[in-house]
Amino acid sequence: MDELEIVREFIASSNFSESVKKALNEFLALEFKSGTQSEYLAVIQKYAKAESDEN
Amino acid sequence: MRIERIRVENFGVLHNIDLDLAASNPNIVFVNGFNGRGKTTFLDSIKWAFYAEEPRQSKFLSNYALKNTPDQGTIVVRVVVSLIMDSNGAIATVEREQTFQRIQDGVSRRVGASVLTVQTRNATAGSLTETLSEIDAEKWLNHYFAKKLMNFFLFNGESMAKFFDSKVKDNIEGAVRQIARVDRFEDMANGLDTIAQAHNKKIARLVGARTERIALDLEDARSVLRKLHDSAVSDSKTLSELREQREKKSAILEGKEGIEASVVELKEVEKSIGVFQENLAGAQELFQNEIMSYGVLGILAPAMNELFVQIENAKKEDRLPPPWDPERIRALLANETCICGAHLTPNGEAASQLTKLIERYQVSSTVGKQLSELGSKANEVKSALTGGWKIVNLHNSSIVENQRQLNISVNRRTELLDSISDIDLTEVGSAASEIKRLDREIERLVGSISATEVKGRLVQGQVDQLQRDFDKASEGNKAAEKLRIEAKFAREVAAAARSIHVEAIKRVRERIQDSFNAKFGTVKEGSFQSEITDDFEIVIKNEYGQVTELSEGEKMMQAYAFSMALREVINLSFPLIVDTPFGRLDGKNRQDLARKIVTFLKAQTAGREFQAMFMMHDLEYTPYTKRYFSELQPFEAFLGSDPENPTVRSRMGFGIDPDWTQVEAWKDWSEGKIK
Repeated sequence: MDELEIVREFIASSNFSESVKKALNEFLALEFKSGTQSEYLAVIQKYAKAESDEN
Repeated sequence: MRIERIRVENFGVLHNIDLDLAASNPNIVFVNGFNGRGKTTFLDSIKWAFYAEEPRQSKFLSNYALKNTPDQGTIVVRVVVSLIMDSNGAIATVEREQTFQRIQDGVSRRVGASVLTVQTRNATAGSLTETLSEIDAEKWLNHYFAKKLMNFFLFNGESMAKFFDSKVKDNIEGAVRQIARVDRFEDMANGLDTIAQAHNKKIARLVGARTERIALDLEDARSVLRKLHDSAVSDSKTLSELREQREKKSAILEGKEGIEASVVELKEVEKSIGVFQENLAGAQELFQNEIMSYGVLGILAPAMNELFVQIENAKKEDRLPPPWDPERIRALLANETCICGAHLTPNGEAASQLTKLIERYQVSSTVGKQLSELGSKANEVKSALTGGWKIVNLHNSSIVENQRQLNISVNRRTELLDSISDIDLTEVGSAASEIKRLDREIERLVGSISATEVKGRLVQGQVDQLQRDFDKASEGNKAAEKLRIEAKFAREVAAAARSIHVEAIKRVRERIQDSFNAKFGTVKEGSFQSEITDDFEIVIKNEYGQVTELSEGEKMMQAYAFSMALREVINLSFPLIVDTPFGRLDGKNRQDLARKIVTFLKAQTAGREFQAMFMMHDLEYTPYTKRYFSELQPFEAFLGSDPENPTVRSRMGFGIDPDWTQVEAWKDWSEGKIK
């Protein structure tokens, strides 16, 4: 079982937008492996447009 | 998660205990024992291994080990718990040890701090179980055994009825924050804010001086906001710690109330012990006197019966002589009077034969007379004997009853003395003033947090306005637009990350409610509805929507159900361990609770990975409650007296303690009188 499943469940059942949920899950994985700033930025760039379009 | 094995060395009365469950891998484990044999010490040893909570010195280092170690020699207190972590058979072994050095008899000193190690085997490579144990044993424990949740897993039956009086909300929120990795999300949010800030700088450079000025103001305002946020987080953390300290101090004062109540009860118990001892001695003396008197008669009883038979036979066969007056015949003979018409010559043959006959008949008559008198005496003795044995029996019953009452009182005295000896009166003395200080500090912090929140809302308003101004100023620049969208999104995700624990707590509460209803429904009679409030209080209502009062047993089951629901919801699987699960319930309620616990555990263990361990004394685990529990096929172990060192060392055995089968119902059970 995924050790972070419970946190992912919290995110999934939250009222955040779908793009925010997806980004949070990716950031969670990055936090666990101590991701770099550019990796964070890549996730932002990946979902920011979709979020903007959603709104 | 299951306990595979627990080894305890030199911990209080547990000199060398090994509970190896590897072969049987049971769902339900009983560790039973008379009071004082080390059940609570066993629980304390687990608490120490996992949470570093030490018992009082007198219950920590084994007196037996200290006595049997030479001066300057070292003694290691060690607890080793092996856990089966998952269905793949990953094993984690948690070991904590503390070294002591003996100075002289009864005196020791601690050598260094306690040492914790966690080793894993068969764990999937790269899994959290393996990774965390390699990084840091404390982190491993913190992840799997959040200290905030300790009281949800290591239960004490006596405090379970008051379970919801304690700070359930603080504990759950603290644990959920930990499980939801709030710190990580906080770091994540800070990282995202940095990205948004860097984007703003780039936008300002692209758009021009005015935007740059707004960007600088915005940066300042955000910096103030972050400081306020950090301050609120830090104050909240301190507040939580202070509340925890206050709770501990309150517990000491509650303990003091306990002392007063215990001392009063102890006096009563001492008085009762005196009365029972006196009654017992009196009953024993009377018993001995009566048995001496009637015991002799008892020996004669079979002979009496034979005598009665002989007398009755003699009467039936007309062997007893008629009333007899030999003097009259002698007078007739002396006067040479014929009593049958014949002339009897004195000293003649006929007269001398008659004289001999008279003499023989006289002997026979005397024997008959004595026999007859003896018969009526024997009747008196028989009647006295019947009455006597009744008295002897009464005295015997009195001895048994007094002995039983005496045993109960002596056990209670041991419990009370144990509870009193656990409390340090000096600590009690300083607790009250410490609570006052903590209350002042808590009040100051609550005010400070509240003021920070107000300031935060004001600054947030400024930030929002500046952001709008900034966005407006940067409109129309295509390159800036892209950056603006990314910065906005980064801020949104940062806000979401900061509020994840709020979402998590909300979800946990909703899910606990559903799970609790299902679990409590298996044991609560009648229809009911439950509601878990924002403060994690459970309100039980009847079918008409009225709040209902729960019985003591129901309150205990409520605590069990809540604990199980919490474990299920936040995905923790540490076995449930309960010391004295029946608390202070009386006999009838005990059986009722036993039935409820069995129903509850059957539902919990059906097709699920679950293990529970109960530690019960002889009045909780009886042949009658055993009937209910046997459905669960428990693994029965006991902490019994070590025959060579009964006061300082307990031993672990399996099945029912042979000492139990010497008393009351367990004696009847061992003799097959109770099935």
